[in-house]
Amino acid sequence: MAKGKIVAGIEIGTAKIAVVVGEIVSGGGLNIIGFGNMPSQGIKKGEIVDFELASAATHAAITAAEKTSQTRIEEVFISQTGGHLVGLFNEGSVNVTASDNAVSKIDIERVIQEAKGKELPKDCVYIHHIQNSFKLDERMVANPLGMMGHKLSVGYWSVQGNVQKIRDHIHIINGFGLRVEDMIISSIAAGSMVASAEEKENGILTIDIGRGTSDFVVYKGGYIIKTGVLPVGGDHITNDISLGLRIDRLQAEKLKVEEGQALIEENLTNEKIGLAAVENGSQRMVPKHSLQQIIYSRMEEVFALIKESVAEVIVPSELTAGCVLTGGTSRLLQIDELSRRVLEMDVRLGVNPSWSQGELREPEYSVVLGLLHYALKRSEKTIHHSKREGLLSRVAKVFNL
Amino acid sequence: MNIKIIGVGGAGSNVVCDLYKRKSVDLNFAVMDTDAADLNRKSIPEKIFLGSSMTKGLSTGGDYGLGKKIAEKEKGLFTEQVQGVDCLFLVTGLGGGTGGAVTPVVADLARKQGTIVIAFVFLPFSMEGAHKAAQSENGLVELRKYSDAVICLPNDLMLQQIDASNTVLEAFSLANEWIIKGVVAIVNSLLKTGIVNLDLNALRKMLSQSGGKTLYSLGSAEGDNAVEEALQNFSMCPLLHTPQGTQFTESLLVNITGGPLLALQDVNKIVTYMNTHFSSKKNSLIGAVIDESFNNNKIEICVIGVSAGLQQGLLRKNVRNRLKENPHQQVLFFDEEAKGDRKAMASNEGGQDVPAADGYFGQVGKILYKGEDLDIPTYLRKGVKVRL
Repeated sequence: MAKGKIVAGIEIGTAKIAVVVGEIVSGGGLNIIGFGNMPSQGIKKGEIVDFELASAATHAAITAAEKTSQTRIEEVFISQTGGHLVGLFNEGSVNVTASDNAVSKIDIERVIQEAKGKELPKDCVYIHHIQNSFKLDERMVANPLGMMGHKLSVGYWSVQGNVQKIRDHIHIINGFGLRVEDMIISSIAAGSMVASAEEKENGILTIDIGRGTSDFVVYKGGYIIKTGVLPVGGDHITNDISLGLRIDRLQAEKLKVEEGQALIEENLTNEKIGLAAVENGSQRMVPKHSLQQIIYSRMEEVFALIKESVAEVIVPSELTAGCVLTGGTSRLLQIDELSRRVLEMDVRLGVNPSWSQGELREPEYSVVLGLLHYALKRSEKTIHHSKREGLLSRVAKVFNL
Repeated sequence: MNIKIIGVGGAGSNVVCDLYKRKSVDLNFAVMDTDAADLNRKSIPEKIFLGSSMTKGLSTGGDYGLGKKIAEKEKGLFTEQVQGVDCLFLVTGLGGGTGGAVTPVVADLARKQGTIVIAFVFLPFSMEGAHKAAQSENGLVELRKYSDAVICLPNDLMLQQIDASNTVLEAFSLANEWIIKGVVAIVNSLLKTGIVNLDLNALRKMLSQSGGKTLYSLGSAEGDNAVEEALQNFSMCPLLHTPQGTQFTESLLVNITGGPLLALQDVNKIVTYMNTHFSSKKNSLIGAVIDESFNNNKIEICVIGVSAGLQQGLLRKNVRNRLKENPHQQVLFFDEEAKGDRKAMASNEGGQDVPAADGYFGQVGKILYKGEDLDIPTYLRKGVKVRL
C-alpha cells in the first residue's frame, strides 16, 4: 500500500493539547490514524505563560500521537488564539485601466495589493488575509476577469497577532524537531467543522467557547466577514465561582461541571449544595442560587459582547442560519437557551462531521479537526512558496478558506 | 519608634480620621488633600493642604495630570512629613486625581530615607468606567514601585458585603474597619509587650524582598472554640478572595491579638495553619499581643503576605527561552528583521517596568476590553450581590 503524506493538527489550548494525526491518501481523502491528548500546562487565556511547561506537555502529546499512529509526522498545522489577535476589514479600490473597460488580470492584482497593503505596528504580523467578494461598480462578482466596468474593489478581513506570542507556538513545535507548515486561527478551524456550506452562504455565527477564550467567526454569502477572540472562557467561570463562593479552584471546577447551569431558576432561594468536606471535617453548604447567578452573569456578558461585536458588521437578523456553539464550555447546561435569549437568533449545539469518530466527536475537538481539514484542502491545491520568505509572511499571502 | 499614618485625598483621610477618633493606638496622624473644604472638616490636628496655588483650594476634579504636578511641587512638604519616621502607613483611594498621583511620591521620599512603607488603597468601582480604571492602574503601578507592600481593597467588593437596606456609607465604613484593624494589629505588635513581639528590623527584612504582590486577610472569633472559629472566619474573609489577590506568598506576617488567656499553643496553631495554606517557604514573622479588654477568649488575626516579584521572574524566563538557539528553529522573517527583533527582546530582559500582574489570569497581562477588565468576575463588576 502506498503511504500517503502524514499530517498532524496540533492545538495548544488552555484546557488540553490535542494532536490528531492524519494520512492524506492520493486522490484526496484523509484517514485519521493517531491521536494524542494531554492536559495543558503553562497556558492561560489561550496564551503561553510558561514556555517550558507548555512545551513539555505538547511534546508529550505529540509523542503519544505518533505512538498510536505508529508513524512519523511530516507536516504540522497549528491553531492560534488569544487576546492579542486583532481582525480588521481593509478595502482596496482601483479604476479599470483598459479603454474597453474590461477588467484585466493586472487590475485584479492591483486591487488585491491595495487592500492588503496596510502597514502593521512593529511587533505585529498578519496571520490571514481572507478575501471577500469582488465588487465591480458596486455589483458583487465572484470573478471579475473580463467583465465590463469602471471601478473594481475588493475587501479583505485581515487578522494580525503579536509576533512573539505566535513565535512561542512555532518554537514549541520546532523543539520537537518538526516544522510548522501552516497556522489557522481557532475560530475558523472550528467554524469549518460545525457550519455547513449552505449555512455559510445563508449567514451564520459560530462560537467556539473553550477554557481560555471564546473564538467566533461570522459567515455571509459564503465569505468570512468577521472573526474575533474574546479572551474569556470556562476558566473565568471557575475563577468567578471560586472567588464568589470563597472556595478553592478545584472545588469550583467540580461545582461548575456537576451543578452548573447557564440560567437562574426561579423560586430557588433556599436550596443549598454541600461541598466536599475540608480537612477539619466541617461541610460547607453554598446556595445553588448564588452559583447560578455567578455563571449566568458571566455567560450573559460573553454573549452580549459577541453580539455587540457581530453587530458592527452585519444586522444579526441577516444571519438566517443563526448561531452554532462548540468548544468545551458549550457543554454547560442551558448554554444554548441563554445564548438564544441574548443573541436573539436560533442557536444549536455543533456536532463534528461524521468522519471523526469516538472521542473526537466531542465539541472540544472542533479546532484540531478543522486543522486537519485545512491540511487536506491545502494538499489539493498547488501553492508556490517563495523560498526567500519565512513562514509568517508566506501564510499571510496564501490563506483563503 | 516613630510610626505614622498619612491619609491622602478624601477616601484616605476618612480612614485616618476614623482611627484617630478612637484614641486606641499610639501613632502619629496626618491627612493631606487638595480640597480645602473637605480638609477643614477633618478632626486631625496635622492637616496638609496641597497645591494651593494650582487648585485654589478645590479638588483636582479627578485630574491625574494635575495631581502629578502638585505632587512634584509639594515634595518639600512631603519630606517634612516623613522625616524620622520608621514605619509609615499610607491610605488612599486610587482612581481620582490626588491619591494615585501624590501617594507614590510620598512613598518614594519615605523609603529613600529608610522608612518601611505599607500602603492601603481603595480601587474604584468597575461601574465608574474605563477612565477611572486606567488612572487607578497607573497609580497602582507607581505605588508598587515605591512601597514595601501595597494592599488593595476593590470597591466592587463593598457591594457584596452589604444588604439592600444598607447605605453606601455603611459599606465604606466596613472597608475602613478592615484597614484600621490591620494597622492597629501591626502597631500593637511593634509597640506593646506581648507573647511574641514584632521587630522592626525583621519586618524591614521581610518586606525588602517584596515585588508588590500582597495578600491581606482578617479573622476574628470568641468563645470556647475561638481559635478554630477565628481561622474559619479568616478563610472566609472577602479580602482573601479578590480578583487581584494571590494565594502564593513567600513570607507572611501573622499578627494575633488575644485576651489575657491567649496561650502559646494557640499562636502555634494559627501560624502552622497560615504556613500550610499560603505555601510560605520562609519563616513567618509573628506578632502576638494581649489586649486586656478582650473578653470571652476573643481573638483577632491579621495576615499580610508578600511574594517576591514572581510574575516578573516568569516573564524573564520566557524571554530567555525564546532566545535559546534551537537547531530546528524556523526562519520566520528576513534576517535583518530577525536581528532587530532579537535585540529588542534582549533589551527587554531587565524587565523592570513589567507591572506586577494580578490574580489567576495575571500572567497574561491585563487586557481591557472597551475599558473593562474582563478577568474580574462579572457579578462583582455589575454589582450582583451573591449570598453565601
